[in-house]
Amino acid sequence: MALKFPRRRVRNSETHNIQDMNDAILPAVEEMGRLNEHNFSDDMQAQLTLTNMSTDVAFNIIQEGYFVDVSDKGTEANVDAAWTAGTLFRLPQDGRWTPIWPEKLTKTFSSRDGGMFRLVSGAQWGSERIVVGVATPMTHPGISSYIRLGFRVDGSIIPDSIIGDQDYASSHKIMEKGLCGQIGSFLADFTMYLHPGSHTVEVVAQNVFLKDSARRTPTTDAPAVDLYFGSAEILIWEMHR
Amino acid sequence: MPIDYDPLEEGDALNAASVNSRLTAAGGAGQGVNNLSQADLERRALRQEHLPRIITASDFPNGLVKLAPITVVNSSPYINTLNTLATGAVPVPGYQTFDLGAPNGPYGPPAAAATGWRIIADSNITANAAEITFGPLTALTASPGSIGNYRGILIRLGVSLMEIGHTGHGPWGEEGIAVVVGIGWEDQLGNRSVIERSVRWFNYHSTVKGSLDVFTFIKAEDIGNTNQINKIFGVISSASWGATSVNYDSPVIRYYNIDIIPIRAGSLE
Repeated sequence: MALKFPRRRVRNSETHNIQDMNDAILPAVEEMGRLNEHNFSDDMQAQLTLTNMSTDVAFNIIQEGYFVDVSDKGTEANVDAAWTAGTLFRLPQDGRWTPIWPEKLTKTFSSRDGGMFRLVSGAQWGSERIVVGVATPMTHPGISSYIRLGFRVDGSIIPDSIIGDQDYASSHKIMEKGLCGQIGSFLADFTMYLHPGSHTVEVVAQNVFLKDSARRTPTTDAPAVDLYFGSAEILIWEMHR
Repeated sequence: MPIDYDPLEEGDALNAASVNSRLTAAGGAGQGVNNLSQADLERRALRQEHLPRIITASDFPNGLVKLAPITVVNSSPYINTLNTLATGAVPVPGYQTFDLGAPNGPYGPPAAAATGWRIIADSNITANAAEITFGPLTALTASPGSIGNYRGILIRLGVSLMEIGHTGHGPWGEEGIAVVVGIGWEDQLGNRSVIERSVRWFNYHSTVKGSLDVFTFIKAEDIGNTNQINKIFGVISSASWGATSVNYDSPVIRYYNIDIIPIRAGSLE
């Protein structure tokens, strides 16, 4: 027990003066700001209940998800129409880190205490020009670019969160490794410390040419082969309890 | 320090009123020790033995993780598809369609081509399926929403793609053909659904071998008010996203894992 209160009890017929009173009460008053594990009963575990999600909570989260049916995105016309309608997110192939679906996946929040945060995000991506050949089977895979993805927190990309493949030597025009090719998905799952205060988390991607033109044939195709992002979800989990 | 205690000084009266006023300051209604806040606790003052359990063990009698058995050395291709590939028409996938055909549908690889999801169950062994039974937990959609005692359930699914089983063209599948994975759930009546935002397509050219990873955070609105969830599972299929194809190139998978993390949380704002 970190605190013994009262330090001494008043006996019958005993006089009590000002100093006695202060000596009895002040230690308890001063300890109120330093209660620790010794001051609480083990019974508290059974007495405390977590039933009300708005008050009796353990952590805090932000989540948002978005669904896009990509089953008809096999033609440039359909992809272009979806871009126009805003149902797909267009990622330019310009080598720049660009937030994905910023109105959906970018989150600004405030943390009172700071602590460890788990950032989980995933999305569907695809390439606009996916059908190059006309024969069956298609003679050209339409592979366009490489993607790297990561989390950008308060304006800075977190290097350890980056996933993806930018290794030209490890790839083949058809049999690609890593995050590249016609259509695919990613899952980024990263835990980091954030200090107290306001933070902005973005999911960012880099759509990269490794040569001076799109890595696809025929070479007459437009070099700017953008990517699109469809279904996406993010969960930001403040793990401080 | 929340107690506004005024120490007695020499010359102060020591009587009932002066004593009571100080006791009130130390522990009156809504004051002092009766008005402690989180800031009054030392860091880590409340430890495991003090705090209530975040996850109620009885909610999840089968644990939170399911792994594919390592004793199974191979699997048949999943030749089920979400849509018809041969017609050349714009395909319309059945995101809520399960292949219930024999054998053992919707579990495991089908023996014959059919339409709809299959629940991942290597070598068609239902006991090894990528699914976890729990609860049932009741969803309440009133803000901020809850599933049982939890704000929601984080589900992660990983599928190890071993190879693409091809039938006619090239070793790596055709244009416009993808292996598609997602996360589904079952209600207390046995109705199955797929969380559509979890559905992810992987073209064979993009993923020849590797891990197909997806996640979703299931919320009350996914389940429906007062409806119950008692199972989650991983689903897999082939599908086309628009290119005409005459063959069903099918994923052969190896390991898989699925885990659930019920999260008790407020809103991070």
